[in-house]
Amino acid sequence: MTQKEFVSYFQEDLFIPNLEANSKAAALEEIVAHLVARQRIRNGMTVLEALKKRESLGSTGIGKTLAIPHGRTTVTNRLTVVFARSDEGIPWDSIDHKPAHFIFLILAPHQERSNHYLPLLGKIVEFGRDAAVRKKLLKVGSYSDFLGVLEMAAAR
Amino acid sequence: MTSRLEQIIILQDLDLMIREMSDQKTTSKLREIGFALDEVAALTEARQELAAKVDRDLLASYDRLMRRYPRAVAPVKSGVCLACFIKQPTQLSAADLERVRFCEQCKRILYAI
Repeated sequence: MTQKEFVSYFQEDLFIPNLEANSKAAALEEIVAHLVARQRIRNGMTVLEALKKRESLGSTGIGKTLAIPHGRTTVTNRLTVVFARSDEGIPWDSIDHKPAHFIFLILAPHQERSNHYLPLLGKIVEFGRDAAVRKKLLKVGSYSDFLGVLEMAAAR
Repeated sequence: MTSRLEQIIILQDLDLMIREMSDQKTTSKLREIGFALDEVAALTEARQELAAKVDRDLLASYDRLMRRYPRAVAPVKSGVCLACFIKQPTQLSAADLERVRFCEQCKRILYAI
């Protein structure tokens, strides 16, 4: 996946600068409700079920204040990414027990021609594991700030 | 309350998640990326519980379709089944989740996206 393709998955209307939720379940609900409100999906309930089932297999809190809830669903026909921040941090049963400040939620259709789902997951992990990136993300207040961090990461 | 169509969609998503998470290539890749994964046994149990709540005739249709195709539920966009690309004779209401409709051509269960 090229850097241009990677950046293209982050849309302005799917950027949430500060989540209100203070638990994993509430955060998933808030993000899914955002997707419904932005008309990216029609049915939030089925998506929420898929995400919860995925969490039951093992937390998507991969440490270093990152959480990457993800899953394939019948109700979308395109790979979709939401980036959400939480200033307070959200308990996510993470590997290192740290709260999640940066949440990347990924939804994919069951059949996806580009086959970018797993590469995108890998690329987001690589992006978020960079300490300099996380330091910048803490201060991101707008989508354009966020794009600046993506560009900074690409130039490194 | 979960509608009949929502139940079937949740069931399909669960069945396909079980299939995906039983694929060693995929789970190896996910672990390599950094995700911790347990066995799928808990999902299989959840699947049985969910299937027990689905209308028997609808479940039989779903199971039959899943044996025939990779997916039993197909998305519909602008009145076209995106599995077989046949235009449906009547418009599908996205809001009506109680009424389960089948594609006129391939007989898959339809969901308006």
